[in-house]
Amino acid sequence: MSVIAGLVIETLEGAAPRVAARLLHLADLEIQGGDGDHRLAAVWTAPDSRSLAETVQRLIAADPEVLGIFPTFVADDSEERGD
Amino acid sequence: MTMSRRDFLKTSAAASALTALGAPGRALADAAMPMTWTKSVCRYCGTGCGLYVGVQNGKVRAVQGDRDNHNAGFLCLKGFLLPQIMAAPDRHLYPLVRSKGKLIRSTWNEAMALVASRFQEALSRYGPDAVGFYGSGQALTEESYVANKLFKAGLRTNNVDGNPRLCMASATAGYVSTYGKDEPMGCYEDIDHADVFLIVGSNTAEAHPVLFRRIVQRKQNKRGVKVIVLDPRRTPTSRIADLHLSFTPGTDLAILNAMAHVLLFEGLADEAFVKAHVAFGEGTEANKALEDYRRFLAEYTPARAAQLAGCSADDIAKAARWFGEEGRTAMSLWTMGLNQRTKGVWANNLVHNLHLLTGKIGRPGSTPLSLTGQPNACGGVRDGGVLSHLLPYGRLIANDHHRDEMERLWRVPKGTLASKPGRSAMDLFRGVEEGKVKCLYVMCTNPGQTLPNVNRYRKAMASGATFLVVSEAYHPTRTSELADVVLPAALWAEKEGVYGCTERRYQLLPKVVEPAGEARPDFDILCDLARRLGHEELIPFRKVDEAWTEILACARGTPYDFSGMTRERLREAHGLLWPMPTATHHGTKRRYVRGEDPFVPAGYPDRICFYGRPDKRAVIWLRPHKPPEEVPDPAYPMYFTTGRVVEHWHSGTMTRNCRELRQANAEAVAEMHPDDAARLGAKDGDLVRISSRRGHETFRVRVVEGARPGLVFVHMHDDQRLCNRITIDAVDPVSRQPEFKICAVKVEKV
Repeated sequence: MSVIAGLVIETLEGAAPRVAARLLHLADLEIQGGDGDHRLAAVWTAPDSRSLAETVQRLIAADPEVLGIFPTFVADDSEERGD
Repeated sequence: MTMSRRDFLKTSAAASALTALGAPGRALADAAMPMTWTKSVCRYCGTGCGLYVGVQNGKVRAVQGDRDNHNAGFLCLKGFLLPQIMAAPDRHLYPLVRSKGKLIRSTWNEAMALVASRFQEALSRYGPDAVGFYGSGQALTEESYVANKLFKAGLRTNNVDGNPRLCMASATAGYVSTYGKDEPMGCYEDIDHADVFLIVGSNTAEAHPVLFRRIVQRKQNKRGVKVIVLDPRRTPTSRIADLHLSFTPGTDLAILNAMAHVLLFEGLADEAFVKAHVAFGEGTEANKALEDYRRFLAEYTPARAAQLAGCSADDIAKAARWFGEEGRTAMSLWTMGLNQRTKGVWANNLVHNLHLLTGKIGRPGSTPLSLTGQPNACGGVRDGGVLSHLLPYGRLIANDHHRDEMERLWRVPKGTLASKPGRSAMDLFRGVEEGKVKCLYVMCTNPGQTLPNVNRYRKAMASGATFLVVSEAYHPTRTSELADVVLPAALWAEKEGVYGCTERRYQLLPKVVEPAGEARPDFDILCDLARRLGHEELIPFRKVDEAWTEILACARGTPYDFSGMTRERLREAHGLLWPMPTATHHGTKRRYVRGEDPFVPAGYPDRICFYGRPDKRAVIWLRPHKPPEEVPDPAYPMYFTTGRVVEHWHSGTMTRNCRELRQANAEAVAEMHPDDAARLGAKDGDLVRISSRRGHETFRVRVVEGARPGLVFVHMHDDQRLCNRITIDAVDPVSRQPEFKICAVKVEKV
């Protein structure tokens, strides 16, 4: 089972293009768009047990131009969801 | 064309994120998981984000933010993962009773009969004050109300307190001493109008991320908006700071007085506002004048404060000038960095002083606004009067008239309510330690992990001298493991009730799924206990909304009046702000303001009326700088502080049940400056033992460039590495709130 999330990444003013460029190396993160200034829309997919939260933590901690990451959608992609 | 589930979800995720940026795509996101959506509120912090709960086959499957609520559809990661807390492996599903040292499965009837008999025995042998209740800012308003009524009017003890004492008591006492009444006058919407933000002792980016986002939006939408952050640590919040003022822990009182010094001596005070609306006071009496304040502030030059605080005098002056600049609005926000202090009330007073001195209050964008840590500490506990010195809706135990009023409302004989305040949180647990509190009922909170100097109180709770009842949604917790009876409590979407958050916003949480296992809502459990203790007439409720009707009656005619918040209206609305005295009133964004607050007469001659005090004036208090209870010395040479991280919440019973969060920052680490780490010979990942005069704990080191030298910061959420073995249990003499935020430690590499 893996997790798929939609994310809005808030950056410092004018920093969205720079942050997007720095995120390109993350294989699990696909930039979907942005406002060209301070917000990016992204999809994060984890092929294994690495956590969404770890990624959020890493991005916020490692990139001083990232101000916050807000999920807009979270789901797991298992075909059957047992309880 | 066919689409795999994975592709479908990826498309939906992209659509949802793009929609948040203003692009279309909502319908696709919704279509990913067809389910029933019901409007509700987040279970976590005091921001009170509105959300929709998605239910499928009787289970909570998803949440999405409520775009029509103040959070504009945004949630933080914790909020988004709420579905996982419902079916967690350690959900507590059936009653447990301790037998021969072990907690064993019991029936509800056996467990409740035991609880009732032990309480009855303690009451008859030792009197009312041999029992106590320790509640929570996470319980629903109706639950806290029933507990308060049962214990104070039924069992006749005022030993009713709760964890808001640990987080907001100083904010409460700050509001009451300054304005005469508790709770903020401003609201979240002020963020959208503020030109200057003064953020003090708050890591808003991690503790209140959705509000932080709103601050970021404001800064991005209006050029020239300034953010001042006063915090010893460089936190993610300081990334948007135009000025981050780092200082020696515990010296912010000097800084705030020095800011007032600059405002007053550089002509930035609003003299007309001060003359019309402000009184001055020292100690507990408002018996001073502006000239006294001027003399008091004379010695608090920026240079002197900077010397005390280990910061730049120019930065203090700059902060004051930004705050006081004529024609610009100013908003202050603060949390535990101010409140969890032995001078917490004074620190709160000093923030209010800045607003009163400049008249930057009661206008859009100009307000002090204390941020709340829990979802219903304001509504359920502060407003509801579920603390040892309070009665509902601004009434005081020690006030004869207020007791008379409540006795009439509760239809109990005159003299039923005891006139002496009960034990506040720390005193309650000291009563356990002393063997004076024979039975303690703990609901929806985890004091075995969250009390300061926790070793001392864990030992007391484990001694067996006190019969400890814990009502919890999870087991084991660091408290339930010590209990004699552990009752399984329904959680969040499994029950109905009202939450009241930071900005006086009340919201209804509906029940959307059945409780897990044999769990029951705390409301039902307390009503059951009341019947077993012979108080069915006092607690006659069969439904939660019956209690709400009674709550409305208790609030009617008080400054809190929210009589207009009928159940139906709460069900429809996306949050309602009190005062709201009638069913047609639209609610109040800004208190004390003519034309907004229903308690300021339309014909009142001034724009502002601080009606909480008899003279209609708010008080600027002369509060000197005082050091914290414990400062470093040769034996314990470093400062120690604790706080939140964005992924976790409080004692982690909920967030550690989310698989995405469990792996992220779940282990508390000790963050320290590279120089401090180098002095210890420690690098990232090494273990250090941190010791105070009270206890010790071992943590891994995280070396942080922005840390303040001489200060070690530890995350507060870890249930295995208890930072509160180290913290100090000294309390503010007025608010009785402990000084979690500052103590002295030594750090040794293991």
